[in-house]
Amino acid sequence: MSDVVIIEEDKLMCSLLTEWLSAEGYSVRSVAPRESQAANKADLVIVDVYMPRHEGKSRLSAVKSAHPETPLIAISGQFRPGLAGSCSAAHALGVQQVIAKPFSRRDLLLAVRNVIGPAC
Amino acid sequence: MARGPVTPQESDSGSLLADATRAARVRVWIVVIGVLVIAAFAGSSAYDAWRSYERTISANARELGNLAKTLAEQAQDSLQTSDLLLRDTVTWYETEHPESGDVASAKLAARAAGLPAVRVVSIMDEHGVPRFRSRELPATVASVSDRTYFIAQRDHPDLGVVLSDPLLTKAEHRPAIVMSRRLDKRDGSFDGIVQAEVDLGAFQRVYEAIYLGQGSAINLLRDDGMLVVREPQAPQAFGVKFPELVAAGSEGAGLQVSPIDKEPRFVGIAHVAGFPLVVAVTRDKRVALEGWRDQAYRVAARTLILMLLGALAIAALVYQLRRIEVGERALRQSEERYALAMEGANEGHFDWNIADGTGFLSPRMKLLHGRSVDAVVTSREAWFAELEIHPDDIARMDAARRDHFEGRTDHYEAEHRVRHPDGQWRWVQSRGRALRDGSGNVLRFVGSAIDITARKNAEAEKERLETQLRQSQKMEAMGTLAGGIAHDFNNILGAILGYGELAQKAAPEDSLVRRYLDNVMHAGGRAKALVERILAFSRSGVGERGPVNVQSVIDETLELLAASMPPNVRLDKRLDAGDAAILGDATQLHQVAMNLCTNALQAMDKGGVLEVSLDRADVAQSYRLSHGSLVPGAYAKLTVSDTGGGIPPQVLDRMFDPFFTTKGVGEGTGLGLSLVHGIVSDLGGAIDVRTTVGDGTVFTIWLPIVGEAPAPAAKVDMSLPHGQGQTVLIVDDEKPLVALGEEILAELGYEPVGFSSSTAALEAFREAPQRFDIVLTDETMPELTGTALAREMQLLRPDIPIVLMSGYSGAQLHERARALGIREVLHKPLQTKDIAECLGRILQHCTPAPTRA
Repeated sequence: MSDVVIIEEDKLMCSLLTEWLSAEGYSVRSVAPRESQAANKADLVIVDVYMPRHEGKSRLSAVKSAHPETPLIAISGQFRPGLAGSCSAAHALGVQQVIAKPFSRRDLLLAVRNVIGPAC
Repeated sequence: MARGPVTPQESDSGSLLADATRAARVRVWIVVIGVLVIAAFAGSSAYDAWRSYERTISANARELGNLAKTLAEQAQDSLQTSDLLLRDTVTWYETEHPESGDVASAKLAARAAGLPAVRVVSIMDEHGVPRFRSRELPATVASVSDRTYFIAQRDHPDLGVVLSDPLLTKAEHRPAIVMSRRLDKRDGSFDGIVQAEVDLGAFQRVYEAIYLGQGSAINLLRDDGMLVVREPQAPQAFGVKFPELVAAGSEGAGLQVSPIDKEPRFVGIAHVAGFPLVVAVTRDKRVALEGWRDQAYRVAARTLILMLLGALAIAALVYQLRRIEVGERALRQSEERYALAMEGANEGHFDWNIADGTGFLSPRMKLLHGRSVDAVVTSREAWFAELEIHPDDIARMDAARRDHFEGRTDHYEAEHRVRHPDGQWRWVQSRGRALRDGSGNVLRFVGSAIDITARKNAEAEKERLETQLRQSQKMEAMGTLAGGIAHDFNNILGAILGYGELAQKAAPEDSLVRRYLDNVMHAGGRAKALVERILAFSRSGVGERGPVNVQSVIDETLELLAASMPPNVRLDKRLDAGDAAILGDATQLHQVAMNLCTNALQAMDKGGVLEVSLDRADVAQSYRLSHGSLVPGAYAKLTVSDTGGGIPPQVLDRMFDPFFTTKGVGEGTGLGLSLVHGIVSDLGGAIDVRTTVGDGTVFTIWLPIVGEAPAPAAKVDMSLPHGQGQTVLIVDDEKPLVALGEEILAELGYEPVGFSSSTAALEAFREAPQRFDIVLTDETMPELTGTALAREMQLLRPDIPIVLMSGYSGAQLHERARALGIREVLHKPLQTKDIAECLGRILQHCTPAPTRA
């Protein structure tokens, strides 16, 4: 089972992501942002970045330090569409993929699969 | 006063100095000329005095000489008469030899009777004893044998008449000269003498009668210098010799120094002819020159007074000159101070005579208006006719002047622009005041002007900066707001769309619920697009920045646009930017071009020409545009112009504001241009809008070029490795990417077979595994991922070379790929060069020919 940790404040969004990924067979855990430090080892962390220009970096760094080896997917309501896949700035922060909200189920699953492959 | 505008102080102080030396020279000249005049005056006076002196001297000499001559003649007369008496007596005596004393005495008396000067005539015997005399004397004289004249006559038979020394007669003790002649016996021996005593008193009386004035004297001297008679009388000098007096001038007159009292005096000398006597008339020089001296003193006094007056006049003149000069210098200095103050204040001044239109303009005034310092201003009309005042300012200027001239304002003040010869408009502020006559008519109009261009520019700049600041504050607030909205909205939309999608799938096809959900999804899609735009214009979105080939994006946009172009609009396109690249992302650039073109098309609903041009422009100096400003550098310049109705001014000010729209409610979001503005600002560019109502609008977008980037689908470089018709299977779930890949492969000389579905691709491969020489597959695909597909294919044909394409290059992917024996991983977006080199490398190692066979 691939473990996916979701750090997302918006409950509705969080439950949607859980639903989508669970349906694909991923084991999903939702963690509040402040508890991100305490999260257990996972295969993938999906983190919502609020205000990417301002606090995005610190949040990503916090997550990255809690999960040093784990790939990251960043999602944000303030990314411009068309950004997905090749954001060098995000890569520099250790993010494998960025997805602009709102995104479709397919967008998310493609990204997750791209990073950790299908749920096994 | 000609003054160079560049270094006024220097030239002024120089001229001041020159003036001072000039004035000093004038003063020196005046003094010199004055002194010369005075000297000439004094000289002429001295010359006059000298001439007068000479004249006085010669007059004296003449007078004295004449007098001496006259007196000498008188003396000669007198002595000759006496001598005649002596001769006659000698003749009588020698012939008759009288014996009787009485007879002889009577005879003698008769002879002497007519001669008053002869006191007594006596005949002396050979021993000097008187024999006869003309009259009886009070005392008897024993003998005259001791007298020198007697001795001389006795010893020398041929002396003729002999004059004695002046002597006192023995009988009467009176001063006299004795004239004697010798008496000879028949045998010629000495028989005595006949003598006549010439009374010197007679001479004295003659001389007394001549008044010569003080300090003068008449002298009768013997020619050996012995004084005989002197008037005035000088008994102590009687018989004293003055040989110098006689020796000086044998005849005539001259100046001598008195041997007695060392006084210089004039002497006139005349010899008494026939007798050893000299008449000398002397006059003291002091006395002789007394008149002259008086005159000379007067002249000298007059001259001195006049000289003094002259000197005073010169001194007064020089003093006055100095005062005038000091006054002038003070005036000059005051003028210069004023001029310098004017210049220091950068002010020019003017003084118009309103009645006749003439006037004075200071050099600075001319310079302020772009004219040269030595421009000639004949009249006010001519001055204004030659100036180019900004048309917008003329009315204001005229109104201000009219208001002042007609007494409505206390003073005149106006600001206007004037064009200088270099073509620049300069702001000039002029202030003035009219001088009026009693009835209020304007006579003169005087004032000053100053260049306020810098201030005006600074004001404009300040206003611009304030506007910019306000704008950026507005944009920042908007950005924060938009960012917050976007965050929440996107979460909400994400949930709506996500659950909507799930619901869509759950709902049966063609059911009413499915249709409702489709509409929900559609609306959600619109909301998503709106939020995207808000993020874009508010510049709060986060995107990737990389070099973007401008021309290819614009070209692409125009191709897209061409499909929806109304038939009555013609598109003129001229793209000359080459490979110029900006730093940003292609989507942004696309949005900019799209929005501008869409707006332009909408402005030309009645048809027209849409002109789009793109070129490079190098900006050499900072430049302000209608929206934003440029710093020096290289720019890509995108110009979009339409022939529509133009933009009215009230719209122009607000058109970049978010949600401002001229379209009807529901027709537009009002975000188009604000999005353009947001993106262009984000890209570090600027916008220039030129519009003429009725004629159309030109939008020029300036974007800084960061370098060169090839167009994504650039022509294939022939130096890249090419295939020889090998068949390449390419799989990507994105159809356009498949198409792009096929195109690239075909150009590289391969035979591409594309699939947009991994399962379809696997199907085809399963049917004919040997048909393909190599497989290119995307990793991220919905049904079967790239690695899964690779695994399947390797089961069918283990030697098939497989290349994985991925937009993401994670270490894990590489590991997985290597584990599967996948040759290489290519990174998206695909570059022709990468594909060419990758395929070249792989196909060189495993020759396709045997496998195909």
